Amino acid sequence: MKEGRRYGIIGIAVCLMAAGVWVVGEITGQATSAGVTVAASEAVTTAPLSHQEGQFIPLGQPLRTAPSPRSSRDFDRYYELRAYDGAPPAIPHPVATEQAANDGCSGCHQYGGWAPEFAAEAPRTPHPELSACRQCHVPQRTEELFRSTTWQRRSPPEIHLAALPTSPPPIPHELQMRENCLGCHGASAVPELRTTHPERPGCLQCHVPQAPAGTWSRGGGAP
Amino acid sequence: MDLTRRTMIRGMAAQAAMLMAARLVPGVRFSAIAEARPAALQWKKAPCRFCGTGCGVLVGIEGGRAVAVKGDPDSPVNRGLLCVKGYHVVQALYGEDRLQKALVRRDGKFVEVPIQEALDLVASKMKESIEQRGKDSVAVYGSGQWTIPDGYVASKLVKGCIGTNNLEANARLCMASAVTGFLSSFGLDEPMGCYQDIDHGDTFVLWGNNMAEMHPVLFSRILERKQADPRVRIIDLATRSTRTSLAADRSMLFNPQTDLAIANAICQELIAQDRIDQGFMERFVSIHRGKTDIGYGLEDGFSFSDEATPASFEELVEFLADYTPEAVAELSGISAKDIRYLASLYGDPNRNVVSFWCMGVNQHTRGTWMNNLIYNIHLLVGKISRPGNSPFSLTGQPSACGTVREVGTLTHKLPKGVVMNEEHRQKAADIWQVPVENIQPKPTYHTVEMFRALDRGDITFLWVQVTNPMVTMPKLGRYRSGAEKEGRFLVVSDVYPTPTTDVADVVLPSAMWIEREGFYGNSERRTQHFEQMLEPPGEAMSDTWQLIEVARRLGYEKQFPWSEEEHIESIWNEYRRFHAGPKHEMATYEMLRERPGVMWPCPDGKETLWRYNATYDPACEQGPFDFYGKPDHRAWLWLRPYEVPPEVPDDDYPFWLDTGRVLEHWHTGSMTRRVPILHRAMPKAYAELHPDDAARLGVRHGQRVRLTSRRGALELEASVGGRGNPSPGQVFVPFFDEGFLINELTLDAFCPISKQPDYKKCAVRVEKV
Amino acid sequence: MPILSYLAYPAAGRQAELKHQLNSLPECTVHAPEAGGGEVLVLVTDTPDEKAEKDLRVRLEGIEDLQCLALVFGHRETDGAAVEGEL
Repeated sequence: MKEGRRYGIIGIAVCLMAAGVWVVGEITGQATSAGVTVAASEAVTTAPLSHQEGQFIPLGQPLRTAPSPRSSRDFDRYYELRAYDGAPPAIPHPVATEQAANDGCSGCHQYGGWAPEFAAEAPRTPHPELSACRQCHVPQRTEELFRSTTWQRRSPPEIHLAALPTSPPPIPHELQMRENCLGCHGASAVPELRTTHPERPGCLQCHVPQAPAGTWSRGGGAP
Repeated sequence: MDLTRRTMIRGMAAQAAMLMAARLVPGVRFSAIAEARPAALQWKKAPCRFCGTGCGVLVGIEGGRAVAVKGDPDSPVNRGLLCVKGYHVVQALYGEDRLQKALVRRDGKFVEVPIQEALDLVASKMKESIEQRGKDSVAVYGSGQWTIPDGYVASKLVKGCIGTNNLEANARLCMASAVTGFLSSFGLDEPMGCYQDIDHGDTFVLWGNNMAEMHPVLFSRILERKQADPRVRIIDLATRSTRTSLAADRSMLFNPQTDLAIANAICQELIAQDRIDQGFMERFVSIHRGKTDIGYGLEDGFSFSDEATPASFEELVEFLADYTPEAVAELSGISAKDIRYLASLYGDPNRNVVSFWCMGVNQHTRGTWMNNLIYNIHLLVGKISRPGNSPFSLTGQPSACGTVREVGTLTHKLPKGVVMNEEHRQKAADIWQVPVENIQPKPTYHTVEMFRALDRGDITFLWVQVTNPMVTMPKLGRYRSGAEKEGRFLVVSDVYPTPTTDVADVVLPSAMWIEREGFYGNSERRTQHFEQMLEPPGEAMSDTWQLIEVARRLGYEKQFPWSEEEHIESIWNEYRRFHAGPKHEMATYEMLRERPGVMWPCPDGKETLWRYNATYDPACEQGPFDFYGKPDHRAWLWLRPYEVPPEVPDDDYPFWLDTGRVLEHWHTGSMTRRVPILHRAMPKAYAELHPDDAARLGVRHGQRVRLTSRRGALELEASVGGRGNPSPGQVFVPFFDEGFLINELTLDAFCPISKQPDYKKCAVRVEKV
Repeated sequence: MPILSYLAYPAAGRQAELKHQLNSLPECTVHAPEAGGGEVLVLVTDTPDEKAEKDLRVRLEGIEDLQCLALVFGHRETDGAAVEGEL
């Protein structure tokens, strides 16, 4: 059983308070089946669609969003490819060659979009200025391990921590290497992370980073 | 389910109820919402555990475990970027088979014993060996993965207290030619420049250095520089086509060993094109001739020492006359046009040139010469010790510079200077509080000779810390059977079982990296502190403390008086005394705790970015340049010829064998192979063949081949059109995989000056299985 | 290993006593609202297994100052299983 699914967390509303719902992001699938309204998966469809049969359409500006009915990626898979929230994800698809550090990665990942070759939404890189992709992203050639590990995966950050039901939720993760929000929240994102209002480009105007308590501080200045 | 996660779920449960309460009961407020959430992630700084680049990482600690990593945006080394190894470095702590208990071999089998009992045994065996066969029968072998305090207490114990020079480190196999190169050309070790040279340079010449895989963060910095400035040129000089070659503007493939001739041809061409900086040469450079036909060290007891004879510029011109581009083109396989192009880049007064190199130049039977030759090129055109003009020797281990080179954990070295020098011995004896007679004036065994001595029985007690010689020694078969012989007592301190712990008599579990406090020193003279962030597993103990425990059992309490709480700080403060002065002043403990590393020399709290340049270096007594490491205050340009390697392909063994690393694994893979993503990306070693050779042998990608040298044979899968592409007639095998020990085949020939073996060239036969 | 959270309504004027009584049960964590914030407590229970959970509920029902207990959140370790209906 996948780690993300291991928790059967359900919300039972007392009385008939349908408006007051606690959403636990990582188990949205089960939560839905348990009859709880899940705001996160209700992505608003705005034309035009990013995917069309048989061709790859890179997403330039302006930004569009659309849930992909055929995307193989979901929230669990998103975290499965990462050792921890913020780790560079492994490459989940075959690669053409080992020889170059950037073997046409940017063809699909510079803007993201539907990649018919893999029948998947190609996520958009949040750091297109870095060109040696294979420095950090590696394919997985085997499922096996050399020796087993006692690594404990940290739970993904909690989401929907808005102070009020109508206020924009704060950003629950670090922004380093993820300065471009559309990498994970744009049209090609997994449904749970997709923005509902891509026409508003100034994300940080309303969504503010939530600094963790007890941040390490260096004290003296850097040289 | 672990406690942290339960805490978090409890917090979520509480918050859900609080939010519900807020809806149901008007005006209700819970101040406990924030408190109910789990303890926040804490980020702490450390240098990366792996290579010598020395990237700053921030380690996320939560609930007593390391759970995340990010690049330290404040680190001037990597500015927030890491490579795939760095992003997963913390997972290397959590292999299920971490050594947690000391193991002692009894009747051929390991039994677990309390660590104090194992340390008693180590001390008594050490004593026994010294009593029965003398001080020179015991040896300690470490590596550039030692923290600075590890290496420092090892040196104090072995050289100062026991009184033998039997102290060596894996860095001999990795960096020794760089050291002798620096010492012969400048009189002082380590680069004059720093990584900022990348930002100021516009021409990058990589000498046998697959930087895209081995120093990826620095290579990305070059690529960013290239994006910003279209004039930037990257030239890859190599024997094998790699990711670096594909990213470079020009890839030039040369025949093994002919880099010596190519460097001389560049010098010849610079003179022919009249590109010499005459003023710089006259004021700051002196020319010397060394010995030639210097041998390869293949026999036990080989010894060599170089001798410098002054030479004139005319003699240099005469010496270089043999190295015309045309003559060298024939030998090297690089066209005369390409050689002239290289010379024009180095000679262009409007270009800033940085040369980078690492193992290709250092693991070379003429490694010291190759280092000298690259300096020669930079000296002839005066492109040195200035921002963006820099011959830059990179390192492979996280503290090869900090520990092995600066602390001096090599047979001839002391923390300051060499054992042969009476003044240096006196200084060490004063700081260590030992009689000066304790410190022996004669070096004993360099690494290869140390393992030969173990095989012969001249050494009967060997303590190995933080390295894996039973994977890395060349001509491995001999040295493994030597270590297994009756009457040899082998102690191995490590964090995981390895082929070296397999042949040990005692295995000591070590605390790894951020499970203890320490310092590393990287390629650009940057010292980096890391605090203890985690508890080591089981009875694991830092290498520093293991050495201290044994030293005290041997009766050296006076020299090792520190408490567990403050010993790292005290050791640092004692060690700093060796380097006091503007030429090597080390930063204070307090500075190092605060900053993302500090570069030495750091007199008056100010880092020196470019040494020997009076604008930047307060140690200069004259301007604009002062190569104060040499008595004549000049850099030495050496006449170093091309000489053939000891073993070349012939009819029986027609292929060159080249060994090296891959991006995903570091050193012998004992840590990186336990990181899931890294092992899954690169699960096993392979033999890279050129497609033409593969076709001729009838071998396809993935089929098995047998490689045979005069020393051993190995069967493994062929890689054709895989990660790299060797030139025809060459085969490349990475050495990270303990399941395929390629060093069974390699040759233990070494550079006679540095004693560093050549892992890049020997002759093998390749057959389809 | 169930973790549940409830809203616990005290009998009129008995909030402090209820808080004290709930706090004395080792499986329970109680969060009270800020002063003057209203008559309700948040109760989180963490029990090792189903049986302990049921035993705890019996004990909770025996507390006189507790007027009403409303379940808000349920979590259990086993795969995908929902908290049973009779809770």
